[in-house]
Amino acid sequence: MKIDGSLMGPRMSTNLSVQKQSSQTTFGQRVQAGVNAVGGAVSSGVGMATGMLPGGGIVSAAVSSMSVLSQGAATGSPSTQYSTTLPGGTGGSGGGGTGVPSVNTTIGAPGGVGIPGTGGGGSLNIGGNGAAAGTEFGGELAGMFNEQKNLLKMQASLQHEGQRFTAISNVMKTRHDTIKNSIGNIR
Amino acid sequence: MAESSSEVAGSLVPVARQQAMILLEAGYIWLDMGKVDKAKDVFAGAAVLMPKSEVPQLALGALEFAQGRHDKALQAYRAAQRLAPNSSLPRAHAGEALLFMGKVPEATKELKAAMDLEPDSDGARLAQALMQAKDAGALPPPKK
Repeated sequence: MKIDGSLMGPRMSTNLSVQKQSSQTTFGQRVQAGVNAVGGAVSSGVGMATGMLPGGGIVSAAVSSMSVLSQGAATGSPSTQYSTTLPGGTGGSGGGGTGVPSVNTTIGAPGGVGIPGTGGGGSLNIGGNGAAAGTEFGGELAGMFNEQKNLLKMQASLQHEGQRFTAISNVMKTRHDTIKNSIGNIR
Repeated sequence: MAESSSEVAGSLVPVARQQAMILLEAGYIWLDMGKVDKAKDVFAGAAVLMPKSEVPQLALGALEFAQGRHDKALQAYRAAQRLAPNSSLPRAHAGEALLFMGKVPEATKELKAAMDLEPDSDGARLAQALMQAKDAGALPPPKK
């Protein structure tokens, strides 16, 4: 509402002010974008590095899942990605209630200046409101983890079969050579 | 009767080495062709012709082994071992038969003995290959 003072008497306008739609330049939105970018960069970096490590498949799967979550978070709450991937996180102070505790970023405490576009008391809540979404992502992550685990199992099994095959092949070749030599060396 | 160097020692009638080799080769070819009876005739004849040689006994053991009769194979390998007690090959083959019979400790003992007896011989190599197969879990084969 605004008070229009240009007329004779003060008059109250009853038009509701509409929130600005154009650019997302609030501190909270910028923090969200930054967090998403960092999450994506970390996940892609670790995903590349895990290729060089033993057992990296599982880590890579987990991290690539994190990357997926990070991409999905651009339109949603930034807290869900952390709340589902980080361990031991329950009780964010606002909104979500699960996962990472909310980050309080109150600036200028003496002046009492709150962060625009965030919750009351000047706290930026990255706790999120995505308990349901978190469960969904967690399920997806668990599914990928299981898939990777099964893949590793199959890989180990194949390797074992290969070793057995090589061993038997070696025995058969040695046996053949032995018989041939024993016939050749008959005295 | 004096034996020449080209004849097999202790043979019933003079048998040239080359003839003995051809005879045994023929037996193994019959065996590979699945003609077990013919192979058995050849090997048994060779064993009678060369009673002092362990090679026909090893061939008879291989014949039994190929038919899955591991106990009979072991008997033939033991006969070969008696004829050539210092040879590693009969012991390696005996270890193989024992392994297939599921007697792993006895088999391991035989294979180790084969490797110790003649470390750089064919018998030692066969014993080593069998040990590696055992360590890889390929031997003994699972029971049906």
